[in-house]
Amino acid sequence: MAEITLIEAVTQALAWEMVNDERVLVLGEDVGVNGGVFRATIGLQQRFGAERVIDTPLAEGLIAGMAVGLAAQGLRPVAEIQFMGFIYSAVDQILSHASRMRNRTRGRLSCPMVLRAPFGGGIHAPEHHSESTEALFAHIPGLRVVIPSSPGRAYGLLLAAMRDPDPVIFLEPKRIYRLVKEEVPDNGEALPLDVCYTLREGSDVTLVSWGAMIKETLEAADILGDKGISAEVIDVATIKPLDADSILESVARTGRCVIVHEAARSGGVGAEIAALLACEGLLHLMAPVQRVTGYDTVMPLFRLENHYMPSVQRIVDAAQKTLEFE
Amino acid sequence: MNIFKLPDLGEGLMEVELLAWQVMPGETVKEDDPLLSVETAKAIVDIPSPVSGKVVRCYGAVGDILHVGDPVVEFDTGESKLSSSQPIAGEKEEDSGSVVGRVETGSQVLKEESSAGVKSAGAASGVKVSPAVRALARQLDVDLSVVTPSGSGGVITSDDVQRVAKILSEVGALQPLRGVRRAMAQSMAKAAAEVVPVTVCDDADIDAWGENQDVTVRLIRALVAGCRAQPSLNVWYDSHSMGRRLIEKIDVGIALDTAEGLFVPVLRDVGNAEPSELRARINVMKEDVRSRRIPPEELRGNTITLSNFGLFGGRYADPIVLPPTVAILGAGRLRDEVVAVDGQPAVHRIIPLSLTFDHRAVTGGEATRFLAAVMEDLNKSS
Repeated sequence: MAEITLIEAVTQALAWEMVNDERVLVLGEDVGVNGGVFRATIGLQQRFGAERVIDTPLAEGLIAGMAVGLAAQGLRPVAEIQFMGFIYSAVDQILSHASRMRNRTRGRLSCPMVLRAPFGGGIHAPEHHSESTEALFAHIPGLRVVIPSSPGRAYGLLLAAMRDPDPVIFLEPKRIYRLVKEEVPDNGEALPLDVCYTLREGSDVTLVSWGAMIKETLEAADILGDKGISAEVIDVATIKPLDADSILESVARTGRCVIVHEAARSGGVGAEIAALLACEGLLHLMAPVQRVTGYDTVMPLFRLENHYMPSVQRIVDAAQKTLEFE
Repeated sequence: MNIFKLPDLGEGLMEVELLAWQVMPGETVKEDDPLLSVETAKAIVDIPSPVSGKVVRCYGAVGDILHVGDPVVEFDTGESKLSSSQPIAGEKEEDSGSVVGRVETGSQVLKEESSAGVKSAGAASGVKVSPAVRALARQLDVDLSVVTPSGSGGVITSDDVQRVAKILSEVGALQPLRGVRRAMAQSMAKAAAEVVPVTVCDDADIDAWGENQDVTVRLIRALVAGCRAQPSLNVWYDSHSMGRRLIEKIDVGIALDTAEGLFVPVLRDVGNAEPSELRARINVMKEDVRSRRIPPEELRGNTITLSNFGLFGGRYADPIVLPPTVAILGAGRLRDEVVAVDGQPAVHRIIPLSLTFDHRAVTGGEATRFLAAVMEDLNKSS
């Protein structure tokens, strides 16, 4: 069994589902002949034909609109938005139609589409190529927002997203597309949506994160471990709807929580998790919840990029702050 | 950054008490310079520095209990430990796409065990308490884990904290067990959890003793006689592999009470020692224990134990057998008692004996024959 990267796991999941469900089709800019700018759809057009792997014009509104129509009429479109920074002209289709189809038609139609988009910084890209605006979509009722952090979860969660009867925004952490490999059996087994994944068990502090920041969060947990601090690491994976039970259960045991995300702080998903803990976990909290996030600025260009992204040291410091709280 | 963790100090000691720091954050130390002094269950030890460098942080305060593997000192040795998950460029250039920017390629293989969803619903062990009440408890120095909650849903209220604070102010502060006393608590609890003890009691008639008999030395001699009659009590029992080792040499552990707790120093090969030599060794041993100079190797490896508790009072007892040994003989307070001699009452000097044996390894018959041999030796005039 081959060890594959996160992006290869995306390709593997798409291919599995296209073989096993003829309703599945892929569309987006450069997804066909080029194989996708990150190579997520490489080889799919040769294998499944240009009718099922469709190169679209440079028009995100059209891509999303096509996906809404295809999905409402019984197909299973998987549309790629080349970068999350380009998604905004598709937002009207997503918010006004995809998320509302089931409600608008009183359940007669649903919108089983997946909108894939690479997101996040750290690849030294130009403007509009490093955004983490997952909170915009997490705010919209009717959308699922799913973010894998490993090859295995990319495969299992993308399969689950394609099989879900409602629209899923599937955000891929492009910084770690090729950073690590993992053995991922190509067996078509989906992972559950709407639950968190506990990557490391611990008893002193709960570190909550998702996407590429899981890498720094796990490194911080290692350093904390060296200092005798036992950190639990939770990968939220589905940021909407949020698996409140898992997070509350963990914090009830540890009494402390640090939330790590790359997106700007104000109104981020970290704020939602902190509010959840304040409302339902208050009696277990032994220290104020800490957030380690990007700053409330435009994502800087690449020379300053590393100053913006939460570092391992910032996560370690925040965790120690919760332990030193008096 | 380099974190020094408490090493295994041997002896199976898993914890020590921090007595004093020999360094402060900011100081520069050389390899082998003492970092801190700790008290183990038996002795006071200086722990040397494993590296040369600058002390960044000292973990723990004087009086803290440190466990093996706990961080002790953080050093700055001038070398930075490279993160193991640094991306390593692949050997061959892969096609990583046609985007502006750089997607890093690594060859590290992820091995991950994750679990989905809530692991154990409702397993939260922490106390439920509002931040204000938590602050009150901190102010009143109340450990919330000992407070019984009275609020709905098991929530600790401020009244609960006040109530416990009042009780604690009346009973005085908790004194953590330290050093030898702490080791005693642990080994006794372990023995109670493991051993299947049976105690048999009897009296030895020592009326025939001549002048100047040394009670402790006579008891050791009697113990040797018991072991010779029944070697199955001078053994180490291994409960894990369910086996016993018969030991030819008789190394007697002598239970010694001190203000700091119970010590059991070992007299080696008592079967081949003269009485006068035994007395001299006992005296040296007692002095070493009192002055805390006794080396750790003289506090381990006994094959059987003697507890001469009757110096202070008490007739019979059920002394505790500490694994891997299987027997302990207790001697109570000497007394004069009316006994039947040739059908007539007579007043004789009596020493009460209590023999506890581990019934997993020793039969009742073996134990009572052992006790009979001990008594027979004690009956002798000299």
